[in-house]
Amino acid sequence: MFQRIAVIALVLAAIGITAYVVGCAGKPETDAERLARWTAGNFTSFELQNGIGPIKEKLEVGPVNASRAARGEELFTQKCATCHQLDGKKTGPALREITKRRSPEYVLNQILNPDQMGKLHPDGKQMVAQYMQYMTIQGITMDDARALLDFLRSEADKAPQAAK
Amino acid sequence: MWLLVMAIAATALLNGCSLQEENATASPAAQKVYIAPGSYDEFYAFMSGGFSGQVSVYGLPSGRLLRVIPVFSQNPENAYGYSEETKAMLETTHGFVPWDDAHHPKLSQTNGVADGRWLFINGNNTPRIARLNLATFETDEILEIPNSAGNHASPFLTENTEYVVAAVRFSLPIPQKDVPIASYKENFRGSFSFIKVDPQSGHMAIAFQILMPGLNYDLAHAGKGPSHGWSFFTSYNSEQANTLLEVNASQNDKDYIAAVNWKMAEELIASGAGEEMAGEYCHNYLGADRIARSEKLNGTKVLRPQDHPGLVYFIPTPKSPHGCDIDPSGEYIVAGGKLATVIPVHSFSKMLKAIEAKDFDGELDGIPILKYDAVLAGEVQNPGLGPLHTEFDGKGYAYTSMFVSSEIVKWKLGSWEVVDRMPVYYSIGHLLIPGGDSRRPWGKYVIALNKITKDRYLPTGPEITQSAQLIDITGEKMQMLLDFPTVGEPHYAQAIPADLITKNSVKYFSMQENTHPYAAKSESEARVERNGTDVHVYLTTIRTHFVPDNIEGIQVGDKVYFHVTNLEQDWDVPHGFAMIGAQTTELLVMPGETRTIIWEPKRVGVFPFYCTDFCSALHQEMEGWIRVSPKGSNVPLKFGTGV
Repeated sequence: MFQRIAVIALVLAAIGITAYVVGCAGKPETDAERLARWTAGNFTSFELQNGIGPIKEKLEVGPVNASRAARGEELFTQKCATCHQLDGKKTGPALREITKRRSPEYVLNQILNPDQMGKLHPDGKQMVAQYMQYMTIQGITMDDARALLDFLRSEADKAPQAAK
Repeated sequence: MWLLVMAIAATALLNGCSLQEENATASPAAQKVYIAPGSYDEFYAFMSGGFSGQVSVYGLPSGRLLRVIPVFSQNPENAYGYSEETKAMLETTHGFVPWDDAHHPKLSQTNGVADGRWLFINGNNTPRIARLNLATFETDEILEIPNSAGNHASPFLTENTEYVVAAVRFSLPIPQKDVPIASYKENFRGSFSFIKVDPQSGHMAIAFQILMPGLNYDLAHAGKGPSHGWSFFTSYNSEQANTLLEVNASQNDKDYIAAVNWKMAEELIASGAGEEMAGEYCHNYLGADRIARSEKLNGTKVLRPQDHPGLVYFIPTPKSPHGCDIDPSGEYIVAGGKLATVIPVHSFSKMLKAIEAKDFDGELDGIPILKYDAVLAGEVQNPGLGPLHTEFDGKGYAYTSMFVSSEIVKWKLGSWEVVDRMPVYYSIGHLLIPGGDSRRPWGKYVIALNKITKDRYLPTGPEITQSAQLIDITGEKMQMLLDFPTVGEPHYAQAIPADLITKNSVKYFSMQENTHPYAAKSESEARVERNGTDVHVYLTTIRTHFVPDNIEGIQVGDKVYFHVTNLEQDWDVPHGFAMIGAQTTELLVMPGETRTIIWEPKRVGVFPFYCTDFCSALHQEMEGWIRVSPKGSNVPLKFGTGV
């Protein structure tokens, strides 16, 4: 009886060790595997906090770059202002304080990967349920997104303006 | 006892065989056409709509209708031919002609094989050729053909899309002249038009025309391989009759195939030959700004075969031929004589020998007639009744449509023996094998395009859609897999592996590349501008609002241009725009695109507009109002959204 339990314990331990070794030494996750994981509702703590998309690890964003922020403002007018204002709801939420509520990585992933964010990510899905709208794809590049991030960061502490 | 056991076993065996046989005939046909939900067909097929003036797009083998592309007809669904950007596409020297009888779609080719870039199609009535862009599934260009009528033997492409070729089915005085109709023999002519295609842009330009005797030139194909450089045209009415043609054009035992050495014609033109003949025609095309413009041109270079021996020959062929089909090797020229008792197969190499030996049987209007026997490769005996078209499977077999006996006949090239028949429903006119007119057919299916439908589908009043059948030709015997209805009346069709087209398919138009002069490329550019009584509304649309959606300062009698720009940059998010009282259609604007309609308000009041294409949960809320004040009013121009 005890011998049998001992054998089972050894087997389980071996399996556990094997799994651990394979896990550590395993190949990087493929896009298809990642998508399957998200579809099943399994997110890493990084992903829950920082969104899903091209940004997969913490960034060093540094201080706001003024010229980049200026370009970001231009992009905001062209691409974001159709649905967002800094203050006041439009098609989507107000954005002045977005960089206080969300990490830079989250903001970038939302801009660069709105479709999957809206359909798969728990916070993104909640926003879609609230606004009855997926964020539209606007052909924004990584550089564009960084410029927008700097613009939003530069506006975060300014006083709200009357809604237009 | 043993006998009983054997009897039971035999019964079981028979039942087993019976069930097996039943399954063998029933399930494979359904399996072969089944495409699982969310999966794609193997081929695109493009079918003409005939009198609908359109092209329909199907997937094969499922037979699913994917799209109807407007070409010569206006389309209220997407404002083709109604919007200010597309009306010019339907301009002709007769004025605005928003319809034609669209007969023969032809895919552009490279080295004799379809390449998936463009689809050309002819307008039979007001002689025109359109070029469709297979990246956008839109009509990019329409070229009118002067000195022509009944543009039916058209638009047949040479092997590398050097030329699109067109010919006259209804001969007429060329140039036009007021003459008695009974003077047909003396005064009526046909013409062959060779239209150069720019290899990069696809743009068409008339290179030269050949002035021909007044016959009815019916169909054509270009040679391939050894016969590249020649084009062949069937004709009827060798009697040159001008009335009751069903009787008067069926007297002679033979009609003619015209063989044209277009390489020689090309050289003649390059050397300065050819007379200039007046003739106005319109060339309409979509610019880089996605606005169509129409240019009126005049004059073509004309060659007369009588002046250039060797340019054209006539090959006699059994009476009233329709199809003119060249086999993949380029050697055999198959005619389909509607009233003939055999399918004649002419030989290109024998034709060259007969020309060299001057093996002539007289001439017609100065053009030598070759002897039938000297050019004949063989005849398919007892093929059935009413042969029309032939296509090839690339495995040594030809398939001919039989209108009267309502069947497809499979026969062997070289031995000319009939090896299989397949009844089709009913009265087949045309047939399609993917690549069946090319050097390398994808010989998997043949599609019957029938003229009569009757009881194939649920009834829909006196008018019934035309009927098509999908038939498997991978085995020795043809196997019918599917029946499906078709749009308008297909007169021809083409098919191509889907991946040659899907890889280039446009998903949306880049806003950065939008060069429309009235585009508003962001909401900050949306505005209303008055210029006298013309008012230009630069309006933007995106899920889920218009900018501006409130406009004031418009007056009765103004001409209001709505320039609608769709700011979306995502696949399959068009927005519509409809204005009450506009004497035209709505607009349907693709992502990144700008489109315009005109509204001329006639009454004082406040009038709504809205988005017609359901685009999101708050689509119903995509609406706005325009205040119209009396003429001369002081109401200031004002516009906005959200204030």
